[in-house]
Amino acid sequence: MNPLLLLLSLFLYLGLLFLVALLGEGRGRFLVQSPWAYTLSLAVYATAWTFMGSVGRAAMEGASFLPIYLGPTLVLLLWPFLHEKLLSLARAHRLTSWADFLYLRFGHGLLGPLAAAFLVVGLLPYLALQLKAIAQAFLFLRGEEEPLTDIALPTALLLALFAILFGTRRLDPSERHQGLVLAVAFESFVKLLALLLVGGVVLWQLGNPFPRVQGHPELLPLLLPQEGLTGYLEWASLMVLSGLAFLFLPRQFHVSVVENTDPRHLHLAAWAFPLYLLFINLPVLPLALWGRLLLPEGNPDLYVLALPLELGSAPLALLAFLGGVSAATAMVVVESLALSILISNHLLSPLLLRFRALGSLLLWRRISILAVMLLAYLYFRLAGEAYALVAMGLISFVAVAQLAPAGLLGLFWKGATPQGALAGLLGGIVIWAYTLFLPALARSGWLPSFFLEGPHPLLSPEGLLGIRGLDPVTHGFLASLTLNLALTLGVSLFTRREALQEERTGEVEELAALLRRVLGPEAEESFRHQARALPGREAAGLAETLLAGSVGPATAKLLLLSVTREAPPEALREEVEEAARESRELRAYAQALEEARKELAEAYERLKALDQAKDELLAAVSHELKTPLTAVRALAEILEANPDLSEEERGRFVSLLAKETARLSRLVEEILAYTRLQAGVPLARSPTDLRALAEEALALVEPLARERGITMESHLAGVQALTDRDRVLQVLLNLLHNALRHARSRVRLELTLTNREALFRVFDDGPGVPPQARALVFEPFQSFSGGTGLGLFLARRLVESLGGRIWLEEGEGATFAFTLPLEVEHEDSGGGR
Amino acid sequence: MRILVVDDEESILVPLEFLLKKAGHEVVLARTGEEALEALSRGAFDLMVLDLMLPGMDGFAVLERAKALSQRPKVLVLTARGREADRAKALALGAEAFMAKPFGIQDLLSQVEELAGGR
Repeated sequence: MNPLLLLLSLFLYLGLLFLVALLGEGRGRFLVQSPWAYTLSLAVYATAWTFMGSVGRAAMEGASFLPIYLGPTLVLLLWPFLHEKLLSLARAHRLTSWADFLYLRFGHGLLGPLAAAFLVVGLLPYLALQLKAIAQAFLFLRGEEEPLTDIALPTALLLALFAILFGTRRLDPSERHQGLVLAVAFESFVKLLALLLVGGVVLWQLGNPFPRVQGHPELLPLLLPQEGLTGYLEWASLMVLSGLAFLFLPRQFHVSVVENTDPRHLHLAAWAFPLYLLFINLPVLPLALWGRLLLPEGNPDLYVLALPLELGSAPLALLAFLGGVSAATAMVVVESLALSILISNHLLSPLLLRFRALGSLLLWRRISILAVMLLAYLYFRLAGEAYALVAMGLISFVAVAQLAPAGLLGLFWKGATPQGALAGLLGGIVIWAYTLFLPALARSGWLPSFFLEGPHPLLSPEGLLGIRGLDPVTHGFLASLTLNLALTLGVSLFTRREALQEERTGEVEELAALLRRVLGPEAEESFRHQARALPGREAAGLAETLLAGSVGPATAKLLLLSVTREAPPEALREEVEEAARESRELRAYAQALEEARKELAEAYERLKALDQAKDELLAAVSHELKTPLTAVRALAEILEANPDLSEEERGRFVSLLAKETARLSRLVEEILAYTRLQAGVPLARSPTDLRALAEEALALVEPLARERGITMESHLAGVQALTDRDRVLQVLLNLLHNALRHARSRVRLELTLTNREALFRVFDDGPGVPPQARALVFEPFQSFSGGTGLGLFLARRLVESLGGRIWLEEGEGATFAFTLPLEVEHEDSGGGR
Repeated sequence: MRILVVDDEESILVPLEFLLKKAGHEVVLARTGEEALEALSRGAFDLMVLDLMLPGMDGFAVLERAKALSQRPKVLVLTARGREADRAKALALGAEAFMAKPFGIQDLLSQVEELAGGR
């Protein structure tokens, strides 16, 4: 086939994948919420290994490919016990992987990093397998056999980019990645469709292969069950192995637990996913048989591609290629993402914390994805040629299964101890490396081949204790898992279960500040929202959970140390809470007292202010009385003691006397008017025509104006207000008198309506108020030209009692302005505040 | 005796001027604190009759400035407020005597004579 066409369709397909993921992040969000998307995403389990390797294995070993799908099917039967428990645990503690669970359950600082590092190493063959599948298929369709040129590298880089784009947008990996899930579900659909189509077309074109086996006795064993103990053992252990892998593979945990939007989706997945596995396996055996019949010399792993070519159908071969690509890419993306989370949360984040670079965690997670992908590529280049697809995958399966004893016993057996878990895991890892991983390297020529012999016949890597006849994977699996389980159980039985880790407690404020520092303001907000009513212990737990989800559990614990302290042990807790409650009540009581005291103090201040106002008024009045009284008395005594005064002097004194007397009487009138207004008389608000009131005031001062030869002007708008008519009149009179006293020739009164207020302005063309006196003009005792000095002071009080403001405007002459609200704004019975 | 009378009220200045002149003194009038200081700077006075409540610069300020003069007149303070605090403050600022309004002319004259005699 044309390599350009192949390359083009490969990249077009990857482009389509990006589009699907974008759809999932955007408008297709609802698709991801469907239980079908969840079920299809579980099918990330079926990789290139399924798509191409199953046919290969069936062609060589018969039905032994089946247990790999029976295992998950059986595990899903257990979902009410297993998955529901896992889901609720994961939800409560924001678990992102089994390593998180092991750390949470056993609290041993080594378990998380060990599990994480081991999984990375253990899964490299599996990732390499996918790259190999793509590269192999590509080369085959191009018509070349050797060497495996580097279509794998750009593919790996593109997939890394995909995982980075859609998997590491946010720091918190326990958040859902809708785009990723939709893309994975889409790929599951594509690979199923492709394999069914290939199988269907082959069967339709070539017919039923089973009767032909009669003529080919060498094919007969493929259709018969394996004989003897080893056969059963292999079958059974493959089933258990794949069941465990289905549970413990990082990518399966990711799609089935972390990306689960609704636990009820399991109801559908429990039957639909096994059905999916059944469908995808239907074409395997017929394809394997036709492959063996028609292409006895061909690579069995490539029958899925070779058979369509054999039929002369290039488009079908291309479809098969894309099906294989989708199976491989979905796995690679999700697995590398899950591994990068393991690496960043368990291996890198404690280091980053030490070097105060926790902020770069997301960057390191992205780098981890790239690194995992490059390592897988490296493994593929180094060891990829020696193994068939399935064998490579199974090595990884056995590695993953090492988590099972600690994980499952941790879930269901209270007696499991950290030491047991650690011993089991370590033992399993050692055996796995010795029986499977290192021999794989030896077979590829990277270790001397005598390694496969072992130092002693009983210690042969592929035949421990002298056992012969088992295939290496079954052998390695049984050996490693047996030792693992035995150590986990045994050490657990012989170590004491330590008391639960001491709990810690902290203040919501400090915890929230920590969350803000590490996870940003959104996390802080949501934490504050949830922790508002929680006691310190639970708030600390919640903060730890939130942190653990993003930066890994060990780092979360370290971070929390700084802002929490040890919580009191269980026995004391009740007393402590009782004490806390009492002190809360005491605080509330003290607060109530304090409030009462404040109210009293305020009332006292109000009274004092009132009292002071009264004193002030009294002082003002007596002061204003004393000056004219002094003058009157002095003048009277002079007149009395000096009968021989000149007519001119006498006249001068008498006119002064008259003026001062008039001043006195005006003062008395003003005071009387003021006291009348405020002597217990409440504000008498009534609808008042302010224009009519202003005209009345003008009429009242008209005689004085005429006497002084001053022209009165007015500009009055019609304004209605709910106010106390008498008080307003008094204010107007005071201001007009003041204006008339200072005016040279003109006084002007204006009334306008502004902004829900009535505005009065009283203008005179006198000398104006000297600058230094402006601030004091409304204070008592400030009289500048023989007035009473009380007029403006009283006017201010009256205006304020009516809810208005009074002020002196800037400009030529003097303009006093005051406002009145059109409606009642506040109740104030007195004018004398 | 040269006497400076400081008050912003015409109706106080007029009778005081008349009475003091009649008693044989030379009288100068000032209506504000500034006028008073100007008069003080222009020529020496034996006595200043000072109202505390003046527009702008008040009586206390005048007292304070007058203290710095080389030839300081004696000061008789007049006030309508009659607060004890005002009296104490005025005396502390160097006033020789203090009279609360309203006062009789005889009281005023005898106070003036007393201050004149005490020279």
